[in-house]
Amino acid sequence: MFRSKSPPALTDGLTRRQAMALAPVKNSEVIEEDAADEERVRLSLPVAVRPALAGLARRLGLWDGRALRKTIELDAMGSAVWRLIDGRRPAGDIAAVLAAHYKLDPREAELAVAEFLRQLGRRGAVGVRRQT
Amino acid sequence: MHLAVPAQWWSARLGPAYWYFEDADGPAFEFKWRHDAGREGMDAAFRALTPKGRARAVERLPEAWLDALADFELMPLSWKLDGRTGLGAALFCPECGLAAVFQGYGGADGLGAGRIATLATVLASLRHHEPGPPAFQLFGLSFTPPPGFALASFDFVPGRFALSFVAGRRRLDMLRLAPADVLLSREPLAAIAASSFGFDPAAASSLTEVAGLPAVWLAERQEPGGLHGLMRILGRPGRLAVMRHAGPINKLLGMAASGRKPVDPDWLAEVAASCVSL
Repeated sequence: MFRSKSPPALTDGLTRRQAMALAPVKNSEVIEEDAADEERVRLSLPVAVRPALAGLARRLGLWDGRALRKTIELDAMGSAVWRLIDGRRPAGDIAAVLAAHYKLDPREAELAVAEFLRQLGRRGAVGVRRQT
Repeated sequence: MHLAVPAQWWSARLGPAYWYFEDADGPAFEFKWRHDAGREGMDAAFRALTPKGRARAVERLPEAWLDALADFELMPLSWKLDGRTGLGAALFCPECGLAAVFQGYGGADGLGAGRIATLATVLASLRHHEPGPPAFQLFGLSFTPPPGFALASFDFVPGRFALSFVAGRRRLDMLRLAPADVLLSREPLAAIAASSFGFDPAAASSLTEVAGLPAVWLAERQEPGGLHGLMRILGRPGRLAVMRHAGPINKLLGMAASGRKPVDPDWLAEVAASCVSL
């Protein structure tokens, strides 16, 4: 009758409060440019190639060893977050700016920013700096 | 069931007879209940939380909690797992037969004095004999479903918040999308409504105004007889949806209803208009 439900796991062992205190930092190897409409941002990211695949591609003559890059285009909100990343501003402040600009619930904005930064982090576009 | 929680908490999960709240530090409070489940319901709730020693019985709860729960029989429990602790109890109301279980969450060191005091206030606000009509105040919106409709599901991801209600074979879906300006820069309101409510993208739409907001309507199998009537008899419900653009709060507010009979547009407009910004 009362099935046991586990609460959602904490993300990477951090609470939301701790995660919002981290300041995202852009990867210096990311090249950014404005998209055609100048509202959105286009990012060119270095792509990591697995050593085994890289060796095979070289032997087959499919790759000359130059760094590979991948281009992604952020939507309007993603671009707004990206432009707010300066290496010092905590994620919580970015979420607050976003919430005010788009009239979002503050907690909803925090979740949106956290998820977006997580996705950028997976692609190697951003890291985080812990505030002291 | 009526419960007042601190503004700093937010409902991370909501379901039929189930509440789960978090605050900035993570899980805060969980409450689930069954009407008329009886004393054996309390035993079942206790057993469900104590398999393989995950939770264990404790002697007493904090005194302030006991005062707040004076109407209930209690089976207190606690647990410690993966750096978190829980303290709560299985409950039984001898007056109405309600069985329930609640847990307050804490860190590795247990529930702090602040959390215990907060939970005492929350538990003191618990009303289950005359809780009033179901009403929801979530994510900046207030909505009271029409009589007879009970909550069936809750879904939240950033930018999208949905509540679904059922009354027999009738279904009502409430949807809130944000931010409206970003969404409307990608596609028109009718296309957003169609994709959000699962209508054919080519479905005919009409633009009107509902409660002073621009709105788009979508309909499926709404003719009273003929082929539509036959399809409804064969199990394909009639559907009607309206999505409003609430510019001042930068949200899109949608309401869709389905059933074996055509949905009354005036009724749906009234229901949609009852979903308002706080």
